[in-house]
Amino acid sequence: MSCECNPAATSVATPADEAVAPARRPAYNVRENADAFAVEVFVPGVNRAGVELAIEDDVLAITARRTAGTPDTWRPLRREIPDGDFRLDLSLNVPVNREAIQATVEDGVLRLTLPKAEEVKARRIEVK
Amino acid sequence: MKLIRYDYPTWPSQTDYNRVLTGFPAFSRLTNVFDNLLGGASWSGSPSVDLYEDDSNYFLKLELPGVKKTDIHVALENAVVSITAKRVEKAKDADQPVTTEFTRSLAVPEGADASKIAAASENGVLTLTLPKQEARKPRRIPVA
Repeated sequence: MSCECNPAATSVATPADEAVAPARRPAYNVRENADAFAVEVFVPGVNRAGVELAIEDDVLAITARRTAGTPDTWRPLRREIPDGDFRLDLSLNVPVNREAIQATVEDGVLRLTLPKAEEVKARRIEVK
Repeated sequence: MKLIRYDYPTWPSQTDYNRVLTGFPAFSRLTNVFDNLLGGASWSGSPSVDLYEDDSNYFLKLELPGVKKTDIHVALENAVVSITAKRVEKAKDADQPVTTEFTRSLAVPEGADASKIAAASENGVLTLTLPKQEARKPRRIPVA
């Protein structure tokens, strides 16, 4: 959604909360290999300090806050990028070793490595 | 593979608006289909852009997550700025790299000085600074 800007109308506000822009869900990819799941979450404008990861029940909640917006001296002429932070909830419907989850952020991409729990890793069974 | 639950309002997908309003190729969220990456794939998309100005410059901001500075190309011709970029991901155990291309053009108001474009990329956000030509800068005219 884009606008040719009128200062008054640049964001959509929910009735309850006029000041904060709603969070948006980022694009993400998931890959699986033998030992772990690799998740890439595309969160441009976010650095390491802006990412919060929390696990509750079986949901991995990712909140990514963007670093400060534009200087006040800038006058908007066209706005397409939504305001607001990113929020993604992933339901962990495969057993994951939660203690060993790793995360890095680079160039606005959050990469998560979710190691599989031991019992679900593929195992070779020898035939004697 | 993963279920996603929404408990909170989310911004409408910008791909829907792109498709209807601007006719640019829409950035499809088809990556969801490729949970198991069986081979190389190539996607192209049109990133959202913000255009700002102050007294001396025009500024453009684009979101290009995962794109290295060396993979971004910017051109300005006839008051149209064109940005092309690509993101190449070589997963360790995928055979072929996945390439995502971004391309976007935007008309900039007349009066930008093409020879002085500056570009900076931080955290996957590209910011272009186009200085205005002298004649375009606002000037106060004193009344004698």
